[in-house]
Amino acid sequence: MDNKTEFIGSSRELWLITVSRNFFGSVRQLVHPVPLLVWLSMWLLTSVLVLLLFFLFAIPWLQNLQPLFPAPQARIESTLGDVDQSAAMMALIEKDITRQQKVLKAKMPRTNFLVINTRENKFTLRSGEEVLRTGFCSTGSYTLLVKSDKEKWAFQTPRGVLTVRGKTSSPVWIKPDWAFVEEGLPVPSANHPSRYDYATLGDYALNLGNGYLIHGTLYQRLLGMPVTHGCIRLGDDDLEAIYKAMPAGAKVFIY
Amino acid sequence: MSKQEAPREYRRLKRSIAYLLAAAVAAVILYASTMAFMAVRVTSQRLTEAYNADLAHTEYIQAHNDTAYRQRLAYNALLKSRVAMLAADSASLTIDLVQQTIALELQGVAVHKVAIAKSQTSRLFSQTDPVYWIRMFSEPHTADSSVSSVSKQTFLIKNAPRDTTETNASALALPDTSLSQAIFFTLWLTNGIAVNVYQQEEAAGFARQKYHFARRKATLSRFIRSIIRLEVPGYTPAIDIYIPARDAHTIYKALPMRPLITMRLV
Repeated sequence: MDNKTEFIGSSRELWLITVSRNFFGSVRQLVHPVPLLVWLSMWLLTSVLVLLLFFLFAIPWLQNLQPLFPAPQARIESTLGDVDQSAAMMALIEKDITRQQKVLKAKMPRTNFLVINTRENKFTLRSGEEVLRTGFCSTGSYTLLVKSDKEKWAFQTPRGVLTVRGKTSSPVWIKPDWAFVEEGLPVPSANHPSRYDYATLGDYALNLGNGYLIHGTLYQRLLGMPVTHGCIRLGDDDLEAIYKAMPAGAKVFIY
Repeated sequence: MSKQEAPREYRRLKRSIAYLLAAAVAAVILYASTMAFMAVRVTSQRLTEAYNADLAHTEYIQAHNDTAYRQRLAYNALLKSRVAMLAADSASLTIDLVQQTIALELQGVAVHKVAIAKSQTSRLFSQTDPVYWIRMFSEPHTADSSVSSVSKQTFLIKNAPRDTTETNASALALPDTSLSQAIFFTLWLTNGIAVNVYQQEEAAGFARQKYHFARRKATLSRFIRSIIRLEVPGYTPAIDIYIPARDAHTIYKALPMRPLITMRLV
């Protein structure tokens, strides 16, 4: 058979075949730059990655290499040979230390005081640096009760230094509005009998102001957990000990 | 088309581009390294100038030559700083690297004191004259920004039930008080020092590495921006402190957003 292929067709078909052959030939010509672009992208990506790792990890490490660039040291122009002057300066600094210590000591409460750790829900009864009693308590639950856009209550124990403003035995809890809202009950009038609760607060209460109390609890199993509405709940024995040890005016440190 | 078949010009072009890229990367690394070193030097000079200006000459020489005097000077600075912090109405932090303790204070009373298991400082601290650090920390400094692996206290939002039936249905589950997350946090002080607090216990998985990455990422953009503008970038010497996770968590949560911090380094 003859190798030469004869084209049998119109001139228009011949033109189409020529154009398409040229087109695919051009595409084949373009195949060279494609690997080049891929190769270039890989190189660029690697370079960026190297730089990123260098900036992230090598720079902090390099900055810690002090001997290469020693920091300027202060120049000592002379040395003191005078022993008396040295002793005088030491006496001066000791005097200043004593003064600062006195200021700090004056800030230490003179009576027993309570320290509340709200994260661990632990309390420590202290007298100066001495720990008198330690145990679990319950503090604010960090819950935001939302009734409407205008009626919201945040249940958190205030942090900072508070003062015991008053002490009560057999305290009565006058339920605020949120106690009813939380239960899904209608809010009664201000002096409605349902607001008076004679059992919930336990045997004693220490008033910290702004409605916050240190009191007992019916839910002893929850001690050590953040479950309250902002008050500090204690176990019966701890509450009694603290009630007796803490006079009115005593400090309560809450953090 | 295979590599062998590629024209010579094509291979030459690739080689040239490779050399060019490698040279560019090397140049950037060299330039960034120089800037990083300069950052340390500039920071050191800035500290020297800031805390040397009003230093009584004899006091300085005495502190330089007499270790006992220097130690008492540092202790006095710590006390002065703690006295200055008395005015704060929220918790502040006292870090004592000499006694290896970290204490949360409320109006001068240490309410939570923890022994530091391990600590390390940037070499700049040992390289620079200790008197500067004594002077720097004779007053408290504010931590104006921070980053942490845990969030500060967040509120759980509870919608009020419409009636008692709904109350029983939405009875609050007991909170999970266990420590499920690794605790790391960094406080950046206004005097240009960073305090990194890490839990001493091994963190599960890659929690520590993830935290390091997140922290470095926070400063990386500033560094890159500076070197692009041909400026010497900022350098933040750091103090790393390792304490038990529970204590780290307690301290972080107790600190306000902009706490006052003081420390004794020498």
